[in-house]
Amino acid sequence: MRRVGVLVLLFAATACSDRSIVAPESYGRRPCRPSADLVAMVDLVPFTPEAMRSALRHGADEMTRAVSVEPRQRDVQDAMRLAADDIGIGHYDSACRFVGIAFGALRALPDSAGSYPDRDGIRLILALTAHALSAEMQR
Amino acid sequence: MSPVLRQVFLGLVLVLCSSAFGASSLGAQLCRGGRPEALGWMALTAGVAAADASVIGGEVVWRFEQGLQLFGDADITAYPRPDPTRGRVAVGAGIELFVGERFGVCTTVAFERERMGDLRAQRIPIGLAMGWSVPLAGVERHIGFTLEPFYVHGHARVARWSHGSDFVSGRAGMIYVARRLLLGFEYENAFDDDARWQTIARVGVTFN
Repeated sequence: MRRVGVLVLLFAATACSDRSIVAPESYGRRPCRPSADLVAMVDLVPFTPEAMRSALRHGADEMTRAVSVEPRQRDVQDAMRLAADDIGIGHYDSACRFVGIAFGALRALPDSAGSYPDRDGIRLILALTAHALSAEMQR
Repeated sequence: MSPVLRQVFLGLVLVLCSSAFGASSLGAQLCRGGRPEALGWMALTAGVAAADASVIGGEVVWRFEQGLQLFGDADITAYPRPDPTRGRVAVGAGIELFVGERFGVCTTVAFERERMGDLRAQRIPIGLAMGWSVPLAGVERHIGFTLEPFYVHGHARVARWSHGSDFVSGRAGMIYVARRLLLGFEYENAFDDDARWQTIARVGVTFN
């Protein structure tokens, strides 16, 4: 019985030691679909995913500078850049996962009044990208 | 310790600890529905899965002495475009806990790796495989039924971000063996947010 107890403790410690605090839906085993919350933020004829690449890059390079401090800021920047890169090579599933991670990291950023305009702008870019990816994946 | 090393270590510990409960009598074939006296089998699998996917793969099961069996399987899941293909490989061990004349129970532990686009995942499914074997009229024919609930500890990574998750899953199946020919089907369902399921058919040969 002692062995069983040690085994259970070992397994519990391992199982509980690795949790992401942002966007668990981005790691699903099925093909990625953009978060319904994000897609629902905009209601218009969708852009093509390719049309969102410049906006994603602008969001990653310029808009995130005022938003917050490391490391969540870097998460938003990197995930948006990777989403833009993956859209460029037609890897929409990966782009969808990076959009989810960027949105999760954005939500986890601490509040600061001065950053609201840029946060809202980044949120809009992510929503438009999710909308575009969602439309492309339903074809 | 890296997530991969930690999971390999955990898998080895579980196999070693499980072996303490294993009886050393007949082979661990019954619990997976195979013919009790066969050494194992090799099969091709094909089927359908959630999200309009098709699955194709292969598996090998080999029985050793002391109630131990090792198995390996791999499959590719193809989704409609533009979704990427999912590839999975797994190796594992089954250790006999109980075996009767026609009924067997094993504990199973495996290590799985999976890749889909930029998603990389490692998982350790720990199961309890139960099999019931029924001989049929005629020479060397039998039918086997299996049920295997399992608990899965997983770790997924996308670029430099990662996430751990645990869930419960299960599979149920039937195997028909006539001499060395093996036919079967299996249904598997995960009880988590992904609610992934798949149904596969298998055709193969047993090792005598």
